[in-house]
Amino acid sequence: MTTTEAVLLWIAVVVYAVAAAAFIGGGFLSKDRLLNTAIRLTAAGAMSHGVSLGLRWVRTGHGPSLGFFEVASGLAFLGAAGFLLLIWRYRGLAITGVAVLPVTFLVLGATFLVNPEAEQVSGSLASVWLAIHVLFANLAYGCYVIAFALASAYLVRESRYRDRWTATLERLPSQAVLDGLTFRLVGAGFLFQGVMIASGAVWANEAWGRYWGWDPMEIWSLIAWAVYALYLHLTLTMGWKGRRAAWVLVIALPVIVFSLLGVPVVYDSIHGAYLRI
Amino acid sequence: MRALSRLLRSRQLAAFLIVATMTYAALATLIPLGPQDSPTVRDWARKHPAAEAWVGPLGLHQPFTSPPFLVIVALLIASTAACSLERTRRGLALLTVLRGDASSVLRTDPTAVLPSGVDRQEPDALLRAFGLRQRIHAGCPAGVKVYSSRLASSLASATFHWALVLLFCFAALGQLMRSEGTIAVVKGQTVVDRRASYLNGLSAGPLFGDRFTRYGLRLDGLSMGLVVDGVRRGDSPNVTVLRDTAVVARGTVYPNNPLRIGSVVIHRGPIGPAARLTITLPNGQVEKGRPVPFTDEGPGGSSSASLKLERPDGAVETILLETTKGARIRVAVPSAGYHSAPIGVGGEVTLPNGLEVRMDEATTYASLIVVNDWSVPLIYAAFALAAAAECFALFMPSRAVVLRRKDSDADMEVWVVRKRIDPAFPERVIAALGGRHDTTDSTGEERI
Repeated sequence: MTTTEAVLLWIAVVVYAVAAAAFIGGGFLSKDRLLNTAIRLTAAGAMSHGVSLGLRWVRTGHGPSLGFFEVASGLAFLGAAGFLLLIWRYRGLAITGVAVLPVTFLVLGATFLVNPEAEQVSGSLASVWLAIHVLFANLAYGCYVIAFALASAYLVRESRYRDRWTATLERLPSQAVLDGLTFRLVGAGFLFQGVMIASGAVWANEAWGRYWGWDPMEIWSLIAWAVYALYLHLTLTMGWKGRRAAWVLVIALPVIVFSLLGVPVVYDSIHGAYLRI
Repeated sequence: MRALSRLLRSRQLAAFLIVATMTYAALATLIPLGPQDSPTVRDWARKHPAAEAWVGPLGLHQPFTSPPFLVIVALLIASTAACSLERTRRGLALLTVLRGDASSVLRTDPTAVLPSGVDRQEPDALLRAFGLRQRIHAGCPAGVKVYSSRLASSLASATFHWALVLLFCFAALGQLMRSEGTIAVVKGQTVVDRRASYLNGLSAGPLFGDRFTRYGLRLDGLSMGLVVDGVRRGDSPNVTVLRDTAVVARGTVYPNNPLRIGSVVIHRGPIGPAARLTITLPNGQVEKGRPVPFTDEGPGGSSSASLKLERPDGAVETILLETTKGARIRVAVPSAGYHSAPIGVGGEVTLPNGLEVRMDEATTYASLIVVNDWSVPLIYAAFALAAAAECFALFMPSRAVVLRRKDSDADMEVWVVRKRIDPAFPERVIAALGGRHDTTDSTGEERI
């Protein structure tokens, strides 16, 4: 990693940390100015982060798709950028930064604990399907994290702690709109994750001659996909909505985090080589 | 039969089966996977005798081909198919509403009743903002107007579920009818795709039978240290596929660049040393230039091969060959007390049992992994269909608004159909029409 890339990444992680604190402070104290500052800080952090990723992309000749460092950094960037896009469209959702920014900060922070050197593109990795696979993985996980944040906001507004956050939570759209938006995010994430699994299957078939090998990473991706399939089934056909549906998403997040970050650590997975720490 | 159909269509059963699949798959990752006689599985069984007492008999070391999993998957397919039928029926009913026939909707309670005497804009313009257009239907009662979105999405959910059923079925049939194995081909040699050509470990589904393609696989040469698009691909075989003498396909095989002929895909496997031998039997019968790939692991990092020869008296003689670098080989005959002798290129040895072995050439072999699976493109197509249908179902859902005003002074009754995808939709529609949404209303959605 070059010095410029490292400095820009350091700036991003520090700014994300301050933005996360500002979101929490702004939410807790119901200070609009603090929330606005947090949004600006997130934008600044995402810009610095994006430039760092772009410089690395130009230098290595491939996108952020090889190794834990690149995958996690790309995921954090898409999370922050997706969040900014969301609040640009729905300003009232700025408070969900309380959940999104700490996750973004922690994911990017984790990359400082691993080897940042670029992985060499080997024969089996030299495939356009890898880029599609990783891009859609990040899009899916980004959607799920934001859906988790919206579900958390929904639950806080329903809960007995709502009084502390009343003024801030008033700015959120109605619970019905929040519920619908959460549903659409999960729908998009489910679709993206499906494309991620399918592109991984196509890639595996091209590289090794089998589209599915019951590798632990594949199994846990399927489990995570099934969790969100269950959410969609419960909401669409069994009429679950509101609190019950939001709780499903809160429970689902650890599964998706484990499937991405935990599996390469716990299991001897073929993906371990590609998400090398 | 009716009770079984009702059970399979049950939403609770579908939810249970999704949870069961997840739980089973998660538990499966806790148990070492592999054949019962593999070292990892044997080691685990020794350390966990109590668990092994039920894990082993249930076949959970190969959990995704074991009976409990197959039962869950079979039920999941049956449940999804039953749900698809139900969704198709409902989708067709919805299609009639979207086309302007609101008779089924009018039999239900309205979503809201907007009082008369309020100045309202024409609903046409208001509802156009929601992407809804008025549909004219011959049988529509007086005072009733139907507005609906695009028709294509009405069967999207059913299509999504049917596509999943197809995907499951293609994958299952594919597993039953596929074959995958490794053929070793020495440089210049042509090996025919048939059962006897495969090294140990040919994996063929129970319905594959003997459907080998009989293609000839010729190894024309090897591109050593191949670099393509600036990426090192490693030593890669140049392969020609022949049907009798006609060339069917030709190419250099490396990861992400297999050779494809219909349902057959050829991938690169390991490359190693080989030799061409001339063998003379004691009766003077000569076999010239027999290619021998050293495909097995020998002692001390060497490669080995075994050669079976049929003697004139019908007995089968086995010759063991071993090499470290390929230039020199060691020949041993178990029937002659493992007498062994080293030879180099051009060298010859006469074994105590009368066999003569001459090494004509030291060369190279490439192993080719041959996969014959017709289901793969169909699985991709079923997935693409499912993804497209899901897009329509979730993001471009079919919706309809039915308005009824018995006369110009009467209250306006409003029905909002298919609100489930977007729970706030009825609220927004009714607010736009100038009313207040009563969330306790039934929309009749369940009956459509």
